[in-house]
Amino acid sequence: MTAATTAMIDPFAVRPDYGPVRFLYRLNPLSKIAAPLPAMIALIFVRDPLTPAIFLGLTFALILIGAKLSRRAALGILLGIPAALIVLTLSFALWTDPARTADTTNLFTIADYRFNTGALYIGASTALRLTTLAALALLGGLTTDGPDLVRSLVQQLRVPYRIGYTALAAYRFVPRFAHELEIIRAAHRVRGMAGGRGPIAGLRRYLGYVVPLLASAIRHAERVALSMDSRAFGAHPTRTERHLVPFRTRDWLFIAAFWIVSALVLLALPRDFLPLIGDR
Amino acid sequence: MLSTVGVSILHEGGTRPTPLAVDLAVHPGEVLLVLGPSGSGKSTLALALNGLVPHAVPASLEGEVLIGGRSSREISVAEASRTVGMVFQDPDAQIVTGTVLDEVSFGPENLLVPTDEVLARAERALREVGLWERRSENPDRLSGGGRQRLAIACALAMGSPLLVLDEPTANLDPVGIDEVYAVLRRIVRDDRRSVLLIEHNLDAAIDLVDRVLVLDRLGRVALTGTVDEVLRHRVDEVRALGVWLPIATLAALDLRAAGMDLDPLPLTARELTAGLDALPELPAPRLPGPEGEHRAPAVEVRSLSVVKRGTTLLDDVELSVPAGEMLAIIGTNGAGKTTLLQAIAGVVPPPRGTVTVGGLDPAKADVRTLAATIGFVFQNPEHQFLEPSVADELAHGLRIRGIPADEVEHRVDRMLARFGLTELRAQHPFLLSGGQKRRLSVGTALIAGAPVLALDEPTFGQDREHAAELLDVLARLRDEGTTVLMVTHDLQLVADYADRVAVLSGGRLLGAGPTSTVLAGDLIERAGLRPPPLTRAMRALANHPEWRSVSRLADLPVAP
Amino acid sequence: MTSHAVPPTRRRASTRFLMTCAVLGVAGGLLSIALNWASVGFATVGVVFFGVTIGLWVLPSIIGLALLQRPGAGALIAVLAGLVNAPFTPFGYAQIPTALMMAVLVELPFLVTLYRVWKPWLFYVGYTVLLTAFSTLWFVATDIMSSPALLVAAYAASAIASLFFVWLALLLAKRLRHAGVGRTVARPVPPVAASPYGSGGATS
Ligand SMILES: Nc1ncnc2c1ncn2[C@@H]1O[C@H](COP(=O)(O)OP(=O)(O)OP(=O)(O)O)[C@@H](O)[C@H]1O
Ligand SMILES: Nc1ncnc2c1ncn2[C@@H]1O[C@H](COP(=O)(O)OP(=O)(O)OP(=O)(O)O)[C@@H](O)[C@H]1O
Ligand SMILES: [Mg+2]
Ligand SMILES: [Mg+2]
Repeated sequence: MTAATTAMIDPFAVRPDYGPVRFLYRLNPLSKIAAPLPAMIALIFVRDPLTPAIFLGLTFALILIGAKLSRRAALGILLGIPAALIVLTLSFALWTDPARTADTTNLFTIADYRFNTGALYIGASTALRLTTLAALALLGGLTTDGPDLVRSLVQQLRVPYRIGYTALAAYRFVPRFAHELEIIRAAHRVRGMAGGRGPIAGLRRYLGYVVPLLASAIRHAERVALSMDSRAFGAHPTRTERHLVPFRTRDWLFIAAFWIVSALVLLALPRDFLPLIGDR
Repeated sequence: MLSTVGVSILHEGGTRPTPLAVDLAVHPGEVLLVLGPSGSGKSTLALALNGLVPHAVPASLEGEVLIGGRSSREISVAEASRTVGMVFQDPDAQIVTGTVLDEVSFGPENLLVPTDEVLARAERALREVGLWERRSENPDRLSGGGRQRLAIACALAMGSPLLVLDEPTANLDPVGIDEVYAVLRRIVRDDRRSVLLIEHNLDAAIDLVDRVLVLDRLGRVALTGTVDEVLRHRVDEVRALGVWLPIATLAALDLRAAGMDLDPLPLTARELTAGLDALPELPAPRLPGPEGEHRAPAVEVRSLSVVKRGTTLLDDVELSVPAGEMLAIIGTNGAGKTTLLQAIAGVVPPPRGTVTVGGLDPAKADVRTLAATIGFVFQNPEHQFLEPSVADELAHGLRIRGIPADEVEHRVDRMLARFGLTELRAQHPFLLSGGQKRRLSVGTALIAGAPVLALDEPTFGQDREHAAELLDVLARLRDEGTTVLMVTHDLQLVADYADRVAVLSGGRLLGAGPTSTVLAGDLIERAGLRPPPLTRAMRALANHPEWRSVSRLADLPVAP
Repeated sequence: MTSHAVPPTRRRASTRFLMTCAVLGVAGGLLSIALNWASVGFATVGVVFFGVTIGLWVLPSIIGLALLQRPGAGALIAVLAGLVNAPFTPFGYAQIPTALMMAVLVELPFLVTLYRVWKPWLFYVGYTVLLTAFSTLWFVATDIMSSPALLVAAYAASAIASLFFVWLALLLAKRLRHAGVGRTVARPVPPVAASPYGSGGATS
């Protein structure tokens, strides 16, 4: 093997890299999961709207700087998240028991139902909480691909590589699955399985697809397994790894910074000026 | 290098072992061809040769498989893989990674070969099969033949001196088949490498084979010996077992029956040409008469284009099929044959007004009327099975039409008998062998008595006897007035049975016409295909000009 | 090379088993993509959604356990489902912890019986109890606790739905086995019998 060809097959070159500003791509997938994790757990228990709002802002900033978004994705995030926020706020507000917010200002009343500002407040808190959770998850999701995550699970977390390869195989089965479903649906249709309209008939139809779909996919998987076995898969407890997903100092720094900021927001923020309405 | 002693294998839940008491030996540097009827246990035997049976497949093994002198029971599959490399039939099921290079490296990496050595081996193997330039591509983007060459490279990269190939070209078009055999030919030139080949398509394979082993229906060794000993001297026994023979040999056997002895018996198109040229004179061939009367079209396609996810799969196709004819649709892998057939049958509804089938527009017709007008057989039969038993599967099409139960039963019984499935009537369709599944799917399409049949590769994976049976059924139906459309890669079959051929290439219809006209012209070459072996042999004749247009086995003279 | 390959052991999961789990994991992943988006939509209409559909999230795991009857199948399928759906849903890789929780949950009924019992009753009892209990997490997160009537209704709905999904999983597993898949992995390879060398007769 000549030096030139070896250099051409640089295992690091396969990952997308958009320079130091789009830094999220240069981080290990695990650090992008580990960093926001404490904040996400804390958010489940937080009841005020301010904390999630701050996290939402921070996450927005990180994504806009650190990820290279296509125009559509950027629009989706910039418009989609606020839109979701509004819809969720209103619906959670309507869902809130009016008795809990009885001591807040009444906005309107329909028959027995009283809609109070307190309900809006609670709705906004819940909606912000959910949206922020989603945004924090997007941080890693937008800039990591599945196979890389699997590789770092194997390389850093010492997940057995046979399990790792099972996950990689699963990613490969996804498009095949979709394609097979399309064919099976067409096949059942032309063989006169259309049988009726409405949700019940629809459900039965889908159940009819499940067995052929799974059976043929598992058949395929068994053949893949034979092919892997005959190429010595699982011969040793480890295998040569050509694609390295390193965990560097920058990953530690990113995690540490994220955790410190999270702690500051969660612990040091004065909340007294925002009363918790209707909460236990 | 590899030998078996009295190997019998019984699949879990199976009734009788196939193969049965097989002894074989592969010596360094030789190519052993294993033949046998469908279901005789060839694939099962292949799985035993690197220890997948009994280590990974739930089947019981009797006797011994000796790999490099050690019993396959005592070593793991991984250990055996250093000696025996496997290439299976389905190219898709052999891909586990995202790039060609990763794929070839997969095996050596499992063996803990150091990175430099992995890359060196991968480069050598990929160069050998001509894929080195495409190493960074996703294997899914290779053609079928390309993926099968990749599978061979993967086996080579393991460093194993013996390759076992189980029908490596079954899914491929003629060009892909040629690519694969070109690679194999190069590989066996190296005297230390041996190959065990299981193959139905002998025309491409025969000239690299050294020895042949033939299994009978029960999976016992019926014959074994050099190509000469088995295929030339005991050809009648081989033929009686129902396995495929090279077309040239089949033609020569017909000629022999008609009193023209070709000696030695030709196995390739070239040998047939030489043998015929050597004869001083030949009786006149029975060339097809002029075309019959023109009948009204049963299927009409007018400027049909199919676009999916931004790619044009079919571009402005015009086609008309007279009622009561058999049309063959041919083309390379990915030419759009399946897409065209599915559009005609309304499996994927075509744009309105582009297709008429028996007076119906599949884009508008409701599903049941459509199913009564056109029967469809999918490329992969498993896709279309709906019911939990063979008999119910056949009855399905009749029951949804409200046909009385005793009538249904009667017709199902007849169909079961016709396709030799009577014993299996209670079996789950998924548990049939490949050939049986295929016959069942054809049966479900036939049973409703639809006036038009559309079949996607109906003879795929059949042995010669069953393929002939199936085609005779179709020919009989055609003679009774059914219009038959079929997609196939087997051009000899097209020559022998089809009335009309449509040639597709890259989603466009290159041309369509009567079979003899198409075979005589250059459409087939223009579509990137190769003329069938008999046509090739006859075209090359130097001496007998009146024989040069012979393309069907039926054109050969019969005994006076 | 002098390295020794691991001798084939009966205890290690076969590649076949792993790949079968991969398929069910993909099925689970695709199912949870749909469920995730549905949950975003339904969260606004009814917070009971999670409680009621919780059996659906682990359906492939239950199918896998019923089909393969091997320790770890359910957990592996649940984790794979999480990995597969992560890139396609609003919650992304944040679901991995949830997936891990599910993974533990689906194995529990069999773990406590040391993987000796694979009877349907264990599926029904084990999962109905566990899934209903697990739905509490969602009832807490969405403030439904405040209204007792609502809470009881939610628990009842969750229990009934869980029973239904277990029934469905067992049905599908039975059909799949009938179609000849999975059965091969269910039982270990028969022990290498000391068959007489070279006696190649019929074995049936
Ligand atoms: N997984 C299985 N379980 C049970 N029986 C099986 C299984 N696979 C194959 N068989 C049976 O074993 C016999 C031999 O099958 P095998 O696939 O080896 O035949 P083959 O000679 O390769 O046929 P073909 O030419 O059609 O590929 C058949 O009768 C088949 O039904
Ligand atoms: N749903 C789809 N979406 C996009 N592309 C498709 C779809 N279905 C098929 N194709 C592509 O369309 C082309 C024609 O496919 P088709 O299956 O008709 O080919 P074919 O001639 O039947 O090939 P083969 O001989 O391999 O069966 C192929 O390149 C295929 O990859
Ligand atoms: Mg076979
Ligand atoms: Mg096709």
